[in-house]
Amino acid sequence: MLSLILILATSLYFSGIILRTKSILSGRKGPGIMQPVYDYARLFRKGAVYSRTVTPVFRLAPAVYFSAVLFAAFLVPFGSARGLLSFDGDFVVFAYLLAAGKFFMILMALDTGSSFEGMGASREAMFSLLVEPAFFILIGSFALLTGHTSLYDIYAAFHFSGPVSYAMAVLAGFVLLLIVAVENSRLPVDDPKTHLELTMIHEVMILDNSGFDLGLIMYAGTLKFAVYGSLIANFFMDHSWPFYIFIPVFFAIQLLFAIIIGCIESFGVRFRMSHNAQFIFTLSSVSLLIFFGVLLMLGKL
Amino acid sequence: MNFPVVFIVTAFLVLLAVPFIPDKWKGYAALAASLWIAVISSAMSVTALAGGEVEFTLVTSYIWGNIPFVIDPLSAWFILVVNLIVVPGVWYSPGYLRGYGQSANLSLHYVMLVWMHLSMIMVCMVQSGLAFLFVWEIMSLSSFLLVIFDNQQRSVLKAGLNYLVQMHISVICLTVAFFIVYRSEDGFEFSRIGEYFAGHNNIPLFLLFFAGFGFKAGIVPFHTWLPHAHPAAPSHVSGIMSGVIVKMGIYGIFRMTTLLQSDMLPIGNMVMVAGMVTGIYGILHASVQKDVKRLLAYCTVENVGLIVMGIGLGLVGQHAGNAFLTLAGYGSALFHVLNHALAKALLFFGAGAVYRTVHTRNLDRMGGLAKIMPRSAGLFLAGSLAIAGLPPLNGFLSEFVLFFGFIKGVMLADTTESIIIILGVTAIALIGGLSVLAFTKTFGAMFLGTPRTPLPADCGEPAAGMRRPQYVLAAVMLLAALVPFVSFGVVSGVVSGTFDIAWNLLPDVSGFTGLLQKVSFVMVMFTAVVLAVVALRNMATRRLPEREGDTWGCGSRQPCARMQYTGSSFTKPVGKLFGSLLPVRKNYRRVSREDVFPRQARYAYAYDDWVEARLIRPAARLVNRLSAISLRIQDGRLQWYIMYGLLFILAIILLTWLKIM
Repeated sequence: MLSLILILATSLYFSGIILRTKSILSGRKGPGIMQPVYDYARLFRKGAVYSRTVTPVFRLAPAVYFSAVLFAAFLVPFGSARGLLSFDGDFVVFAYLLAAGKFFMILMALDTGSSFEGMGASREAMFSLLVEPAFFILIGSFALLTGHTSLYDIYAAFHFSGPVSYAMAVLAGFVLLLIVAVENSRLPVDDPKTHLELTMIHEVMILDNSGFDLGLIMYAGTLKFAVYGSLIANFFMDHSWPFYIFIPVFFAIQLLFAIIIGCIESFGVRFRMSHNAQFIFTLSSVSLLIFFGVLLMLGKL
Repeated sequence: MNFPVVFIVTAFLVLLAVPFIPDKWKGYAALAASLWIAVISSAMSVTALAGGEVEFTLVTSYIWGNIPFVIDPLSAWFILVVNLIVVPGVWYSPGYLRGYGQSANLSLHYVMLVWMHLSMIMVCMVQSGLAFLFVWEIMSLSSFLLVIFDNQQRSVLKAGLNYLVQMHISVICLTVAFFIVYRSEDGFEFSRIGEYFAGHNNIPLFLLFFAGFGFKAGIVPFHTWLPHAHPAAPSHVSGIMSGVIVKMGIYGIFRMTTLLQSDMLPIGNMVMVAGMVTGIYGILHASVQKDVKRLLAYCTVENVGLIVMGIGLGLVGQHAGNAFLTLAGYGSALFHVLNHALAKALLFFGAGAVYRTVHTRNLDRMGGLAKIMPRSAGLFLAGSLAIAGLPPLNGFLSEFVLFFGFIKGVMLADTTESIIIILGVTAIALIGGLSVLAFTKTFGAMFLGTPRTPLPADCGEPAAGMRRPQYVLAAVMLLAALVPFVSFGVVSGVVSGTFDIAWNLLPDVSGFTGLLQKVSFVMVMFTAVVLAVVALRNMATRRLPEREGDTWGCGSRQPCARMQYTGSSFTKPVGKLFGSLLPVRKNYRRVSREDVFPRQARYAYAYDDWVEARLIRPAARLVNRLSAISLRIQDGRLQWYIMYGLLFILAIILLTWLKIM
């Protein structure tokens, strides 16, 4: 329960931090930290325009997408506190729920019959399929290292496996950071600032959404950041700490995560679309590196 | 009562009766026969699963000997799956075939449907090589006749012959394998195969069986008949073939696995790698297809890959004496046999309904059908979710078991095993992602957007008789997903009853089923969360203004249906990325500069099957060239043939006289 509350709390300021980082780095004053939240709240109170071609799938999809991300948050542990739901193999459910959400988002984009949204959907489907192996090799490696198969147990056992494992954690943090960049279509895979001609994945899929649905989709994006951020944070939070240290550290790591994304988006450039696939394959290779590292640590190699 | 005799009598009764029934009622007669068979065989299977002995002996002539019919838990599971798919399939057929075919053709079709059903059940029961080959052959021949229902079309006949030829290469492998056992152990009973395995190297004979059954199951590189036969056959036949006939190959592999005595580790590794290759190859080809039934056929190849990976994991687990891995591997394979059969039959029936409405199988010509046939769209969506292995439907559960087994397998002591299994994890993840791509494409191109070509005037929902079997399948799917306590409980019973391993080392066999029940509960909770969010959304937006408008065309004033993304454009990036595995066949004519009066330019392209293009067609060309040599002595003149006969007799006499042979 605690983890869910903290993730929800993080999701409120996460996008604001990214925006603020970007504005400070480009010499602007920038909006307040809570501005994105006000934007979602405004969207939730707005009416909507629906295309004549759409079917009920279009109205259902944002809700499924949002629920999938929310439910994924249920599965994430928080330090010594289990997630709301925790069982063996919960990370498989985690990944497949997110995939189910994406399945409906892609259908939603195809439902409008727009060539732009079809293109976005096609790319979203392809990039997210390429990123999937990276996630599973990563978690599989840690399962091998710790001998456990639920997120909570993996994290719990992880902190007993010595200082070398923190080197792994840094690599894992790197992989997760880039996985979420692909999942949320951020730099270096896609640039959410531009519209249409240059933004070719996520933003182009939701061109026809408006009002409450758009608010749900936008908020789900932020929530996804917070969920992955807490997956990273868990690597660095020792279970023996008391709660009054835990919670500030958690927020600090999330803050750092947001600032890093802000920096990447300020100084980085978007890859050419055709190079994205190669880039995502490198993620899988880094995960494999972790796997071989684990084999070395266990003395199997 | 001797049930094999009852079955044989039923088969011949159907053969005699159906031709004399009016065309309108033929389908229902077949349905009645099929139900009758299903009820008897299911009852026997349930008895067998409950622990009862179900054994019959058919006393026949000298050649066949006494044929043992046994239903053990393994056969019982497959028989139940067969019945679950074939009965809805036969139910679906009259609606689908309405308006097609002549009377004689229909009679043959319905008789063969029943025969195919019977032969599949017999395949699961017969425990003796020679009789097994016999019923196996009946199954192949009846399904061949079912595939070529539309035999006026050249392409259908060609696909049917392709199937027939490949099935007989499979039979050659199986026959050779059974005779190897016969020569060494002097008997055709399956127990003799176990005796053979006990005294010889297990790998060669198992591989021979694996190849033979692999043809039926569609394991790469033996899969090339599927993408031809499935589009050619009527949809209910495709559904049954993809759902269960292919699974008979899996049954065969399973049966041989139970008989193995040693070398389980190398065999398990080979099987696992074969599964990975099959899975990735199948889903890659599926995602780029234009023809919806061809796409579904390749998707079957993919799912067979997943099942075979499960068998491989089970073998590795058995070798390691690890009860958990054995259960996860074999269990996921058996469970996926059910889940894939249900979802695939549902999808083929749905594709058939769409075909009867729009008269095309080309995804690039469909679109917007959800508005015309909303119920079929809903059913197809359920099937797509299940087959893509996504929560909250049953496909996810078996994929979960497989995934979980593989993650546990990574922890095996052996490094080589760890590496092979982590590759398996990668393969499952990639397959999962690609099936999301393939099925968003399929559903999107068929049902969403606007029609890409004008629809026929009289289109709408298909006849209720075609929809009802789909509801039944969807309901069973939902049940399998909601109560894995029952569905996977039965599977784990089958595994622990079939494979001899120290199950008592596993602290709690039912604990695994309990975990699955938990996962199922989580999926129900997820559905509840979705419903809650939808309710919240509806409440929040009730008072808000809502408008209808055109899809935003980004400034273009006249959006038209042909500007939409098609299925082909949707998967083009994947086609490019994996281009080395997905050869493209282009057929185009440019307008050249020399054309004084340019003719129309055209451009067509299709993805080719790598195995077919690089292995099968060159091999077929070689055979053709070799047979061209023997053609020289065949010139059609009777005189020559008489002389060949004479020469032959002379040669025999000479050889005997000279005592050479």
